[in-house]
Amino acid sequence: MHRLPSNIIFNIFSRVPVKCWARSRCVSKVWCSYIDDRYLVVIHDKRLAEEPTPILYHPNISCERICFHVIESKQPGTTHYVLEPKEGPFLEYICKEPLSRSSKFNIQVQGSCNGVMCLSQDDGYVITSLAVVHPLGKECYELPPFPLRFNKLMRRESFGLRFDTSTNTWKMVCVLLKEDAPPDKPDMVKKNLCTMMHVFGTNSWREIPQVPSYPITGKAVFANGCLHWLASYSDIKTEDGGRPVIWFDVEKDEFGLIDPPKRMCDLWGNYSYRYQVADLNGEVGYVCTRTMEVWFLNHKKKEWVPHCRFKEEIVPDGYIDVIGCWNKDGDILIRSICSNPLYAFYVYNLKSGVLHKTNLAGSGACPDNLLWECAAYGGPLRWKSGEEPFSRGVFDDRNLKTETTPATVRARTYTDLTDEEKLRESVDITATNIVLQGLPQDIYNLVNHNEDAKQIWDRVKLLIQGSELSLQERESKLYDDFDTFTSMPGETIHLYYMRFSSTIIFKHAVLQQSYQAPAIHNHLPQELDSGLDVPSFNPYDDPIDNLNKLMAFGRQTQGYANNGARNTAMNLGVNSEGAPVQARVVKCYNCQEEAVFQTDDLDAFDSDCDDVPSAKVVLMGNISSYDSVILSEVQQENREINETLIAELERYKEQGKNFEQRQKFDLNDREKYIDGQLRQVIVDRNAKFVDFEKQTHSLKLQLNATVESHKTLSTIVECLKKESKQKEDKYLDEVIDLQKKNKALDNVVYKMSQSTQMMHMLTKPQVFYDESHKTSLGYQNPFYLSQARRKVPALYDSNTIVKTHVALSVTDTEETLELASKTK
Amino acid sequence: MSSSSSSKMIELRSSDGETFHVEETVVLQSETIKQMIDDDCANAAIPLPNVTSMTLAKVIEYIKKHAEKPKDDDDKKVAEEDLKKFDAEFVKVDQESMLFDLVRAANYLNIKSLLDLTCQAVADSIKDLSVEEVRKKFNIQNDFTPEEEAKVRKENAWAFD
Repeated sequence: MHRLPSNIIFNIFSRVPVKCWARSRCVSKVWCSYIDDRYLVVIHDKRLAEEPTPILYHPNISCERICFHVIESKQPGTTHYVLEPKEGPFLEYICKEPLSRSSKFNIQVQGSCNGVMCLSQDDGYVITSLAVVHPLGKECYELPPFPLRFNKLMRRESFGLRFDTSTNTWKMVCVLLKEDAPPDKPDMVKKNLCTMMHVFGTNSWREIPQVPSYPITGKAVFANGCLHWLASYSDIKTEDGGRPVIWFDVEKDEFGLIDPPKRMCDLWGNYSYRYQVADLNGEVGYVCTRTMEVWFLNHKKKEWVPHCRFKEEIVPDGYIDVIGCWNKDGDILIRSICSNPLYAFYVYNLKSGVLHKTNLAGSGACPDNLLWECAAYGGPLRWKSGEEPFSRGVFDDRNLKTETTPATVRARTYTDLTDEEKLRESVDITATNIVLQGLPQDIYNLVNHNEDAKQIWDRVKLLIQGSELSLQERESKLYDDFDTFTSMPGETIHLYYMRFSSTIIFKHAVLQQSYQAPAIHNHLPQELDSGLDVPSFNPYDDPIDNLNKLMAFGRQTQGYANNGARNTAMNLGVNSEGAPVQARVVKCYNCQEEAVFQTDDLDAFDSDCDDVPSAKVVLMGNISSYDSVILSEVQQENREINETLIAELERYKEQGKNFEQRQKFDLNDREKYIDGQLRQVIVDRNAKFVDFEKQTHSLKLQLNATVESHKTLSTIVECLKKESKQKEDKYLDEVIDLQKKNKALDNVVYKMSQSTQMMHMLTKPQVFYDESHKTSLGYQNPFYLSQARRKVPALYDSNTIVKTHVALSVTDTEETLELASKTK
Repeated sequence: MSSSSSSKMIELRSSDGETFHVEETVVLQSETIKQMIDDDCANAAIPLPNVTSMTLAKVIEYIKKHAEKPKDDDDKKVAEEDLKKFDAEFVKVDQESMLFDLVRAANYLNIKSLLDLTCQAVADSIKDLSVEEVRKKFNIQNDFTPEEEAKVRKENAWAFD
């Protein structure tokens, strides 16, 4: 049985292609765990150049799922290449449920790094979700929603996925422009730039203070521990139109700028100003389509090294995409966009410098496909804590599925509806408009939040019903008022009349407003209908005029009252003859209502009437004693009352005039007084203001002096701090030196008289790192040493080793023999 | 003290008791032994309890070859090519177990170049093997249930020819 230590297994696996990893996963569970170990990716990444990056192909057949296939490149002849997508999906990604059926959405590969790739889903304008998938381990990690919204018009933002080897974490960086800024003002643009970072395993994005010099665009290339993007075209233009490259150091969180390479040959034709950064077998390549030149980035010097130049005639319009290297020799796969078919593929042979056209086997017409490269796949993501971010993905037999979240399904748009629904919708809208237009403001405010016409109508019905009820209530209340209308004690005739007429007007208004107004009108006595001119009052009118109007009205009503009384009394008289009961009917025409009191005692009624003021026209009649004499008496009485009223009115007029004059006089006096006071206040304030200015000036002087002293003090403190810091550093260095020496000495002492095995274990270089204990896995870690000792103690005990392997020859001296015989 | 003389011989003892005498300059390629010499623990024979004499002989052959130093530049190129040829021949062992023994010995003695060479050889040998062949070669028990194996094979179907 060949038991190999895990570090050897990793060493071996790091030397085989990814394809072999996928096969080895089928060997056993233990091997599966080896392959899935993240450590393998890290060491495999170092040997990246030994293997061409797999190129993936996805035929855009279905919207809901995207199927990536690995492309096999074959070279049957020297000049003939064939690309062939392998059967069986390399990765199948099922998209999130589209928000609505009509909205577009795309899946784009944003980049890849250390064996995982980042996919973004957008609706044609705005990126809606981001996910990171690990194709080999069939795992998916969905990033939290982005806190800021992407600007759909600018496209001056970009993502980058990176692996931080110092902390062994994945990080997602995104640079975006918070607000639109004109490209000709770089300061403003830089101010609006913002860098967001998401550390995998956490729940949110956070903003980091570093920003690049320019907005970035396009896909990121992760190479040599740095992310590389092109600067956004609209923000920087050099003479040649070249665009600089922005890099982001993963470990230091630093942005940097590399100037574009200087072109070495003439421009070709009127080709588009297209530039591209591409991952060429783990190196950053810079492609300029104007000259068809390709450069490599010298990572240490941050310089561009010319690599190759494509031939012109092959690429008709110069619009090319460099997809990546497709074999170990560094041959470059190029996609060119032409009209029919949409894409053409070329392979640039590095040795011969010739471009060969290639075919994509099996893709037929090749309508719309995406070829892209994915930097080395490797082990999947492992997470430090117990948290398993990938658990959100659901995996079935063969596919990778992203869990859909039905809660976020958006309401359908108009275009999604069926014809019947459309009809219903439009009718509903018309109905709603009709209902809403006919509503008073207060009710409209209460119902306008309802969505369909039915709801609004029900609500309005409820509300209006309420108003009908209140109308009836108001009516009955008014009638009640009429019945019990009396003057207040101490009330003048003017006020009384005002009150009375307002009641009348109100009633009129109520009755006219009411739906059953005609019916109620029928009940009204004829007198009111037949041209009773109810005066209307305006609060701005002269009160005297109003009074005059009132008087006229009073007279009119009185006349009617008398007539009405007569008529009714006659009717009643007939009744009384038929029924000789001692009943008294009182008619009060002022109220335009009939009230019948049956009373046995006339005196009691009279005493009631005494309370009624003289201005109120009341007719009292005892049916038995009713005759024209009484009527004339009543008329006489009324006339008298009128006269007194007129006299009173005259008096009021005079009083009104007096009052007006007095008011005018008072007003003038008061104005003058206030003016004087104001002037004084202003003078006072000015004086105070001057004082204040003086005070603030002196305070300012004082403040300046204190600030100066503070400055000197702070400089002194700074100096002192520096000194102490230097001293501290010196001492610390000394302490560290001493500790180092001490350690080395300890080591030597410990190693004395130890076995070879122990030496081996102690000096073995440490390659592993135990995530759970945050310590090395090697035997320098005392935990593992003691564990190992416990398991096979013989290996670590020098005495045992010597016993088993060295035959110790013990020669007995005479003395010992003697001693032995003695003890026997 | 002991490392001052260049011609000093170091005695190595394999697991089956055989001793080998190797020049110190040669044996210094092994990091493990180098450490022991530095710490002055190599005055007696160094026991190597998990390296058989056969493997140890092979290892010593390798380190001896790699210890040869070319005299001038022309010689250097020739020597380099020679070394490459030697390495290629070296890993062509008759028994498969021998290769694994070499890997283990290289790991134990911590000879980086030998470890890289042998690991690469193992990697090359398994690169194009089928799953069953790998199991046989590494003597690995298949611990998948039939359903699990079907699933994992389906998942990685793209990797099979």
